[in-house]
Amino acid sequence: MISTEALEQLAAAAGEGSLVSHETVLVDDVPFTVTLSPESPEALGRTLSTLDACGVGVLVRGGGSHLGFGNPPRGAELMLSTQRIAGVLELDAGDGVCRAAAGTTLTSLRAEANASGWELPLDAPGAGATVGGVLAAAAIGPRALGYGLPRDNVLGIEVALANGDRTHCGGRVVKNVTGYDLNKLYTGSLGSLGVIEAAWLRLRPMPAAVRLCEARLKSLPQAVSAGIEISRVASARAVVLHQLRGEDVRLVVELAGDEPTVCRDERALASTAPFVAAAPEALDDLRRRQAVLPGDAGTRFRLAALPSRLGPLANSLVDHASELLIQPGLGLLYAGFAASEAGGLERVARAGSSVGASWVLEAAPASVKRECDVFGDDGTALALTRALKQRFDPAGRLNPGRFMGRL
Amino acid sequence: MTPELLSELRAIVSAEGCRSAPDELLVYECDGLTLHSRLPEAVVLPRSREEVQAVVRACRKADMAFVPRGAGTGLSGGATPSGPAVVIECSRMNRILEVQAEDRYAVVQPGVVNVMLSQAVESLGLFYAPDPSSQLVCTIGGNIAENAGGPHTLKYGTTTNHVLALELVLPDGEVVMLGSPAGFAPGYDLVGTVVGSEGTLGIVTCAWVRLSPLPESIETLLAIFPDVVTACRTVGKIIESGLVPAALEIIDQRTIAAVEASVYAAGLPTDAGAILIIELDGPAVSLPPQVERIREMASSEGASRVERAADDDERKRFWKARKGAFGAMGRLAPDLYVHDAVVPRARMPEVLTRICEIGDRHGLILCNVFHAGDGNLHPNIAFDRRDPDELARVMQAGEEILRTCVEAGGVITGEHGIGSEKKEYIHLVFSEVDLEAMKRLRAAFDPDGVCNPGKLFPSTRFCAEANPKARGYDRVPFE
Repeated sequence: MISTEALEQLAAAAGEGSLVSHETVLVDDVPFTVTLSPESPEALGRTLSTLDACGVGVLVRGGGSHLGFGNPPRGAELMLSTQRIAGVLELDAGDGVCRAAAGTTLTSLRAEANASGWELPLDAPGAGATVGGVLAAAAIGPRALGYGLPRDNVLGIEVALANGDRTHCGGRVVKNVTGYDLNKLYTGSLGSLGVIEAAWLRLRPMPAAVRLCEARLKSLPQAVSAGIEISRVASARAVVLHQLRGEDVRLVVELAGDEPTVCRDERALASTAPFVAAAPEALDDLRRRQAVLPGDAGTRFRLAALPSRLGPLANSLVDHASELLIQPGLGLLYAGFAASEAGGLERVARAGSSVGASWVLEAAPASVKRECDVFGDDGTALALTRALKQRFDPAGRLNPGRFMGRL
Repeated sequence: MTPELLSELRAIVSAEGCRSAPDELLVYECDGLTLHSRLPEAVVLPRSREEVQAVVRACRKADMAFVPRGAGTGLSGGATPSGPAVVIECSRMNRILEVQAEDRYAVVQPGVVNVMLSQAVESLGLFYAPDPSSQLVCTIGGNIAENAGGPHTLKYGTTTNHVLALELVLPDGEVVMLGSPAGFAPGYDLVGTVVGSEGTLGIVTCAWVRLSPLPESIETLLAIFPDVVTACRTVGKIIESGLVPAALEIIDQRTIAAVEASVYAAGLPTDAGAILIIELDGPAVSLPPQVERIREMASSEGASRVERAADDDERKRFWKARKGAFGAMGRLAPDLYVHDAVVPRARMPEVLTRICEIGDRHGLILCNVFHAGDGNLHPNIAFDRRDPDELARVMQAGEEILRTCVEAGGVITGEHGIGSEKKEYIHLVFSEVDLEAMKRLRAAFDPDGVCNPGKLFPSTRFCAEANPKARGYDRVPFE
C-alpha cells in the first residue's frame, strides 16, 4: 500500500492537479483508484525518478484503448497516464514528418496532418487512442497494409526511463543509422522499458483517388485466397475479411493511390469476387469490430501466419470461433470466442502450431489470462527479453507483470 | 594470441578456413574505410552456425574479442578490429537455403552476396529491394549489421524493412531465433533491434528476408540543372507533391567532371551544374502522368533539359554516371573519404552550399553525389594521406560537415554506420543519458563487451577532438 508521504512526493513531482482519485478501474480484476498524470515531459521524468525512489510500480497508460492488452498487472499501485503531455509539436509539411507528444490523440494528429496535405499512417482502433499508447502497443488497424506498421513509420522516440532519465533515439530524418535503433525496441514494448514522451513520425501522401468496395462470399477459403490476391494489387490500402459463424464472408477492400492505378485495380477486382460499392463507414465498422470482438467476457486471439497457411488456419477455426476477422495481406487472423465457448485457447494453440503461426491473446477475462502467457510461445528469446527488462527497468517499476514472461 | 587458441580455431574451421600469417591478415586490416586499420589476431571462415558457435566459445574461453565481417565493404570501420580480436568472416556461409515465392521470402546464409539473391529470384518475378552501391560484392549479413540502404530506399525502405527473422549466435555462444517469417512475432522487436547494430550484439548465421515483386514498369529521367541548389529544390517539390519516386539521386558538377574524364563516362554535359536522376516505378498506367508532373517541376526550377530513358540501355547509361562516381573520383587523388550524413530534405540547398564552402575554405577537392530523396548526403573528399597537412584539413572539414548537418536538424550517418569512424562524434547527436540507454541494450546482449568492441560508443580514454590519433589517422602512410 502506497504511503501518504509517497503520494505527496509524487503529486509534487508530477505537477499541479496531476494526482486524481477516481472510481475503481479494473485491469484484469486488479483495481486502480488513483491516476498520476504528469503535466509535462519534465514532470514525467521527475515522477518516474520519484516512483523509483519510493519503490512504487505503475501501470502506464495512454488513452486506455489498449489497456486490456497484456498479462495481468502485478504489484502496480497507481496508473501513470501520459494524456496531459499532448500536442502536435512540429509538422513539417515540406518534409512530410511530424513530432507529436505521447498524449496526442490520433484523431487530433490526423486532423492536423490532413490539413497540411498529408496522411497519418496510424489507424489503430479506439476513440481516444493516443500516439504514445499506439506505439507502445504497436497497435494497427485495417490500413496497415498500405500504411505499413508503426515500426515502419517511427523516425525517433523520446522516452523517459524507469530511473527518470529523459532520452531520445532516432531523429526527424527519414533515413538514419546513428546509434542503435531503439525505436524498434520501444515500439511494441508495452511501456515495459520506458514511458514514451513524444515521437517523430513519417507522414504519407494523401491519395488522389480512394475507392471502397465490398463483396459477400460463401466460401471462407475462396475469400482468403481472393483477399491475398487483392492485397497484392498496387493500390490496395486495406483488405479485410469478416465472418460471423454460420454467415457469409464479408470482404471489404479499400484502394488508394493515383487515379489511373485505382481505376485499373478496381476493374481487376471484378474478376476475383462480385464487388459492389461499400458504405463510407464500412472500414470504420471493421476497425471497431477488430477492437471489440468478441464482446464482453469473451476471448480474442491474434494469429500471424504465412499467406499460404492462412486458408488452412482459418478453416481450422471457423467452426469454433464466434467471429473471424482476417487481414490476408498481413497474414493476420483475429479469432473471437464468446464467453460461453470453452477451449478457445487450446484450439488456437493447436491450430497455430499446425501451420507454424504465432499467436497472442489480445483480450480475455483475467481468469483466462492467469492460465497462460498472453504472448503465447516465447520461443528462444525469453532470456534476452528478461535481460532487456532487467537492464532498462531493474526494479520492475513499469507495467510490472504485463509483458512477455510476466515480466 | 595463444598457440592454443589458434590451434583450437583451426580444429573448428579446418586449416584452410583459418588465416594467421601476416600477409594473409593484411587483407583484413581494414574495411572500406582505409583510414582506420589494425591487423586481426587471426581470421576464421566458418561454414556453419555450429562452427560460428564453437569459434565464439573458443574466443570466450581464451578471453579474446571477435569481430564479425561480411565482404568488408563497410565505410565506417565496423569490420576492422579496434583491439586484439579474431575476425569471423562469413563468406563461406553463402548459400540461399530456401525461396518461398508464394509467401515472398527467402532464407539465406549471411555470406550471400546482395545482388545474387535478386538474380536468383528474378525469374519468379521477385527481387530483394535493399540495393547498396556495393551490392555486387557486399553480403546480406553485412547489410543487416549496417542496416544498409541504397538509391532505392526512398520507396522501398532500408534493410530493416526487409528482414523478417534472424538466427543469431549471441556473444556467449548460445543461439536464438528472433522474429518470425510471418512477421508479428510476439514480444520485443528484437529483429529490428539487431538490424543496424553494427555486429555488436551477435553474429547472424541465417536470415529470413522479404522478397518484393519486380515493378511492372520503370521510367528513368535525367534532369540537368544550372546548380545543385535548383536540383535540391526540385527534389523538395517532388517530395512535397506527394509523389514517391523509387530513387532521387543528385550528382554535382565536380562529380560530373570526374565521371566524364574516367572510364565511367556516360555522355553527361560537363557544363551542367548538377544532374538529378529520377526513377519512377509502378503500374504502367500510373507513370506517364508522373513523368509529366516531374518534367514540369524540374523545368519550373530551372532545369535546362529533362531526358527520359527510351530503353533499358539508356537507363543503364544514366545510372552509369551515378554508380561509377566513386570509382571516377579515385582518379583525382590516391585517397577518397566518403562522408555520410542526413539532413531534413528542405534544408539540403543551404547545407550543401555550406559543405562546399567548407571544402573550399580548407582547399580540398570535395564532390557531392547523394541520395537526395532521403536527404542522405555523401560529400566525398579526394586527398593524399601522405600529406599530413592535407590529412589534417580533411579531418577538420569532416568534423565541420557533421556539425553543419546536425545543426540543420540532421544526423551523422544515414547508411554507413558509426563504427570506429564516428564514435567520437556521436555526442553531436546524443547526450550521455541517450547513450546510456543504448549501453543498456548492448549489455543485455553482450555484458562483457566482447563482440566487436570499440565501436559506436565514444572512447573513454581518448577524445578525437583533442587527439586525432585516437581515431586511427596515424596509420602507415600509403606508398
